[in-house]
Amino acid sequence: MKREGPIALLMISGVLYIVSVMLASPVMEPVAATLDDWYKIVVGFINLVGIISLTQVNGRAVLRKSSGWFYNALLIVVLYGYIILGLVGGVGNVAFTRIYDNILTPILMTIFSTLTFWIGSAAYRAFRAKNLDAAILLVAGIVVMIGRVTLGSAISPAIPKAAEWILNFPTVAGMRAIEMGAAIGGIVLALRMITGLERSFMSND
Amino acid sequence: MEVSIFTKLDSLDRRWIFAFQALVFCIVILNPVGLALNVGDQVRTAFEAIESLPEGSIVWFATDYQAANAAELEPAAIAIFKHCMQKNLRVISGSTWPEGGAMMSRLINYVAPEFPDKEYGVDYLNLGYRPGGQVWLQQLTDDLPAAVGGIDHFGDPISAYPIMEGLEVIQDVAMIIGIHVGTPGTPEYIRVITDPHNVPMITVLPAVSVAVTMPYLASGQLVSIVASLRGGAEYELISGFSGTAMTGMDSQSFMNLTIVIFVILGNIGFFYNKYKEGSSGGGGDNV
Repeated sequence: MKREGPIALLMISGVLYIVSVMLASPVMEPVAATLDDWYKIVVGFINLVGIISLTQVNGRAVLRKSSGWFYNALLIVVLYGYIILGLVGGVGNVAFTRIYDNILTPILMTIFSTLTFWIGSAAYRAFRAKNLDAAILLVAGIVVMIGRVTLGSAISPAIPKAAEWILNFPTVAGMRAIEMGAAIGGIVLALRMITGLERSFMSND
Repeated sequence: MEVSIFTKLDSLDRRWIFAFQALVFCIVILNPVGLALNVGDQVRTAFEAIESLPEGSIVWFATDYQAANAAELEPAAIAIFKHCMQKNLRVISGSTWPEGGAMMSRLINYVAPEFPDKEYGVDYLNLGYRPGGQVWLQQLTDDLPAAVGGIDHFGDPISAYPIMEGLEVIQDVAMIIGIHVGTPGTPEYIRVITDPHNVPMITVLPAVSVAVTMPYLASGQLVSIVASLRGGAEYELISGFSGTAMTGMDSQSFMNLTIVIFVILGNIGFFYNKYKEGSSGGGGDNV
């Protein structure tokens, strides 16, 4: 029952949702609307699961005085402190927004911006013309990198045009094929899950 | 045995690359070159699409991004928001991303001081984040006030705001400006709102998402893509609302050039070693 229960629930809700969308009848409309609401509630609980998991992992590290336990403790204090601040004062209160705008946002932007250094290093290691395919990728990459910034048109008007062509034709053709393949794969996977053939999301089988 | 400089080029320590990039960045930021910026077709199309909207039309800002992406996307979002205010359009935002409400508050803080005659709840509104992703977008097409629970980002009832007049479903908006970085994002909006209900959409994207989104533009499902900091700079130029994007263009150009130079140097070293050893090599493991 531990396995059959979730599969039965998935089959029933999946079939109900498909039927309600396909038929679009006044009888089935409330069913789809109810399932939509349930979905939103479940998604809301995902945040709660994350908070519980963070508390468990970091709380355990603090209790065991593991290496760097101070940072685990700090995480718990900040996590619950910020939640309480938001709950008490609302998301519009000055302290809540100032912490977000002046601490969290600059930290996140800085971390994200440092990616440029890693991309530079990774490009240097990876872009080697070891064969014809790699050479084509290398040339296309260089043309797009230079053509998409102001330097490209300063060197030659042909570079931005070449970059546009690469993006508009080979890229679109390749991406469209990948996306259509992924979409068909998604439909097949959904059907397999609804019919109970796909069970790997529950366990290792 | 002495190692040739060409041999070293094949496996430079990454710290040299980081140091050189940092140096180039600092030099260019402190001494801007002022490379000419041209407005491309995509940004021109986006500008003209907003320009053609009748006064009082509602524009939906889908602020589906987070603080990490703000540096890349905010300049374009701010310039478009200012353009909307200048055109007397009404801007309402909603988000499927938890930080979306805070992102819209930041945009309002940047834009509002330049338009002191514009009021919250009359000319712009922040509905904030709602969970549910694509399902929530679907609910916006059935009953928008109900889908947002009748309140804005700050918990105040939206029925009191004049901006909500005539907005029952999201199909009532004249245009969607999607500021997207992932899922839910542009494909979800196209699937649920813009395609089935013929609502035009312009999407503001980070550079990394452009290739994935190009097929939607080619098929006519998007009006335009305003791509990355470059798109933001172009929009600042065409709209006349100068901001941070234009000042970042030189550094972006020279950082890209630095990476290209290192790639070329790496290949010189790779071919030198290959020629010398008569076998394939190259590509260190200390990325």
